Amino acid sequence: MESDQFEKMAKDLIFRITKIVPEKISLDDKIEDLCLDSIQIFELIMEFEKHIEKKLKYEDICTIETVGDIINKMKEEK
Amino acid sequence: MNILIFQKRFKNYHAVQKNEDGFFEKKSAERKEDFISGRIALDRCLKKYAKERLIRMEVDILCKQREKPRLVFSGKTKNSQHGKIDFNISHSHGNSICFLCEKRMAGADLEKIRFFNNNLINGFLNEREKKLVNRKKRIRKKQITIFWSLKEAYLKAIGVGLKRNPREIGIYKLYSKKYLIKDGTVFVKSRIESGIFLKKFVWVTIKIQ
Repeated sequence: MESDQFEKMAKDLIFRITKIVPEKISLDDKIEDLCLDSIQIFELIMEFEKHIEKKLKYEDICTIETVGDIINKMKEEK
Repeated sequence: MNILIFQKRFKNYHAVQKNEDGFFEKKSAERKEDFISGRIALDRCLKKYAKERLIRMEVDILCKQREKPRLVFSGKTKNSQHGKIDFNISHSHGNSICFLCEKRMAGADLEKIRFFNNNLINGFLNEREKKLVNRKKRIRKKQITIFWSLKEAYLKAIGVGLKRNPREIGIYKLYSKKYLIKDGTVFVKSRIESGIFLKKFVWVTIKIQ
């Protein structure tokens, strides 16, 4: 799967939770800045786990801070 | 000593710009409001603490990546013996609370009362906790938000936040507004306070003994 496709998947995932249009999301954006509050961050983590069909561990979540990190994690898992 | 400050949304944040190495500038408009409101709340907290203790305080906030922010005394108060102070800020929709306490770990959470879908509820509440929640819609929304805030405040107090799954933390209700927290197999000795802010937000503070 190409890099653009992973980027589109990640942005669509973020849009589903935060309603921020993909065009306004950049790879450097921090997840905590895109989400309104902690509940949205948790929802995003749950959706992401559903997408990669795997429960994230503490060490995995520590490495995910930006949109770019989500995309890298998706590439790792696919 | 514990201090809890509530800070309403600061609408004119454009007048209070702060640039901490670009940290502030990169944030979205909503997050800027949260940030400003949180910092104002912290400032008020520290001023109140200094006034109560009759001391002059010079503090910096030390923010290391993936660590809980903490206060560090600087300037003339660098070697002060005032004791360790822990603080925690939480913001929601531009409003914030700041909780500060001495010699204990502090956690705080402020959340807007809202609807939780079943998927989300199953994600952070266990079966026992779901039974504790009232079935009436209006009360249910508030109670589930409180349960979320209790877990979140605890995880923030211990410095891990949402990197740990909130489902790992157990909430036990003794009676109205009196809760116990269990982490794994251990009941956490803590002092928990909770309430409603502006009729729309739930707040929780926790001081871990």
